[in-house]
Amino acid sequence: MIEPGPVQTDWTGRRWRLGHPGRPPIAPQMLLLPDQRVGGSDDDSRRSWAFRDGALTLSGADGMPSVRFDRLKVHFDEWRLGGTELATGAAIELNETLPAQVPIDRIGSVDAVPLHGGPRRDFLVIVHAGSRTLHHRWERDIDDSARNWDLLLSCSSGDPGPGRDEADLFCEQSHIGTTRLLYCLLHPESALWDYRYIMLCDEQIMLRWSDLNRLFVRMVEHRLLIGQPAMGPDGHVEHEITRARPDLLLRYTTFVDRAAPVFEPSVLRLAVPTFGTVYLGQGMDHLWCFLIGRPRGRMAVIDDVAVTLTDPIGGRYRAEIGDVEEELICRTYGLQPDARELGFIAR
Amino acid sequence: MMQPTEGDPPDRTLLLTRPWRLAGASPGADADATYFLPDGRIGGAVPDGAASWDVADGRLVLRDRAGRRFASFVNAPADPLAVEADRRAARPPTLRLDGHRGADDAALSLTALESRQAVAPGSAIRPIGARSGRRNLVVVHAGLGTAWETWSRDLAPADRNWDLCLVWHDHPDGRPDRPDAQYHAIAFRTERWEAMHRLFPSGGKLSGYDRVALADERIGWSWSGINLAFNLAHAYDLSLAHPALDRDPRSSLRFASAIGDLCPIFSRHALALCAPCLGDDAADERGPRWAARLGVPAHRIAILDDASIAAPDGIGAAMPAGARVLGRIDRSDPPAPATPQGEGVPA
Repeated sequence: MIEPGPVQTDWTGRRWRLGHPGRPPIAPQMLLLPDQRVGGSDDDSRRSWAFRDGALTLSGADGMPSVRFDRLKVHFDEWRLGGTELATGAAIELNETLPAQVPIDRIGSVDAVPLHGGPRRDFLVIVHAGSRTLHHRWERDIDDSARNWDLLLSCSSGDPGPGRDEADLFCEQSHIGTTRLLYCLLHPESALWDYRYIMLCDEQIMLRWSDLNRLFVRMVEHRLLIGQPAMGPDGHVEHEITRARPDLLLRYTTFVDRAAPVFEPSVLRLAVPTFGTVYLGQGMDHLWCFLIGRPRGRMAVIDDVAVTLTDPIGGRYRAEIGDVEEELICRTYGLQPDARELGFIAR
Repeated sequence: MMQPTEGDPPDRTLLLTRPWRLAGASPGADADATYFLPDGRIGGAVPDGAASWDVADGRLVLRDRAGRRFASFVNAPADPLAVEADRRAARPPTLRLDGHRGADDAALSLTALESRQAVAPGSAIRPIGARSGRRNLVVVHAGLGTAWETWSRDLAPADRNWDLCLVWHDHPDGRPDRPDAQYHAIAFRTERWEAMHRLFPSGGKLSGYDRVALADERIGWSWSGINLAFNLAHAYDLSLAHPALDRDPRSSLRFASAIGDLCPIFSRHALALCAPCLGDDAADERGPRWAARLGVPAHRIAILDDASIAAPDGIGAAMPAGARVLGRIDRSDPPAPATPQGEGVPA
């Protein structure tokens, strides 16, 4: 018999390896997410988890139980669960495992410094600052007081480039990559987690201030866990699914790419540890969608807000190196890249 | 009830529990039966230009879509004559807020309206029974020999995620010998929607459920279908839902501008707002009226194609005439599962 116990993070704070005894894992890095969904697995028969009648039960998209674990053994602090696959009667195991990737180096945490006084706004936009950054050219089509977002510039080159003073927050850590600076900035105790949504905006994105206001409003309205603006016709498109559809308000998808993702903080907390493990970041977007179980109706490309990617991200490094990194991520987590539309809301 | 003091911050509980009439000195400012919803939206008659509300700096603030102040209000000074009139009539004191519209400084006032929710004690229908701990409730306006008695019991009773309330309309004593039901109520010779109205007074025994389905006794359903319908409504955080009658094979669910009244499923909050008017409208007006009253965006109202019901021709529809489909979540097969891999590859 297995009982939930008083501390939910005993279950949600671990990584799990799901598989049949003596066989390669079905899901090498599975997560029991705090909202009762299952992450790190694409199988529709394992979409949610709960404790029922003395067992940890996994259920499918149809709400029907599919796997039942009723035996728990703690082996040198490592949790091992034994159970049964209900459709076949086969034995199945859920064993605690270590995160598949560990941070490349230990840099410590970095905190952002406020550049101006004034109350903090609801939402946060983080842009990596450098000579190529475009944030200082964003069209100011609304008054500064009407913004619902703060701008944080992160700088790792020693030269934040133009427009540093336009930021609300600034952080600096020289000689580490963009993604790993985010890893240091979004440390577990960071004050940034109090924002309602956090956008990681590529420095080569061009937009208007009102676009960001509307983007965050749409995220809230539609309760999205991850979303992104659509990519407008005048710029580059990294993934075809992100190309703007002017006739729609948004499209629900299984994928949000790395050009301008907007995260609900609990989701970003899941993704951040992987930031410390990559060099270029290619494939990271597939990973964070996979880790949260690609929840239907909670991920979307927001066509109501179209921005312009002026320079393809993938064009900034050698493609074969990026491909190797993406392949490694997919292999490590047992994930299949999956970028599909799952529905829409019309204007 | 205490009369609020002039200049005090408006009481949030009062704001949430009463309908309000907005009146202004200028044309276009009036709105009848406005509701302040707990999540900051405005339901019912929404004043032109207003989109959300909050209490800030001791004032009730209405905001436009961009978050700018549309109008703000404080408690109005008590009118001694009105207080005396209320006292003589033994009714709660009249509540009024005074304010100004931001754009032109026009004077506005908000007056709390009486709600039909305050059903006279003698007219309330009192269910007998006790809650089981489940999160959802199905209410059937029941008589003998109709379809509800033949709903397929294709689940173990312990796996039901819903309680059942039978409201008997064809027998003066009801039939309390039905073990599947947690509640019984008598509404002898009372029309269905009048009975529903009288069953849900504010704070009544049935008010604690997350979601409530008000099922017509003539529909065909199954226990697992009911489970699924509640799971879908919960997963997509729907305020109003209706199982499909003519199932769209492409969709898991379709977002709609309104639903029909054969088997509406209300969220707790939606039911609290709509209960006062359940007995008011003609059949074809009910669904649109509920949608308007809630003031929810389209993606909170849906037809559930994955959880359909059967019904004889001509007794109603999942979507009323004139309502529109505004989007959908697709049915979709997940991508082919990843081939099981070897152990995770560390970076």
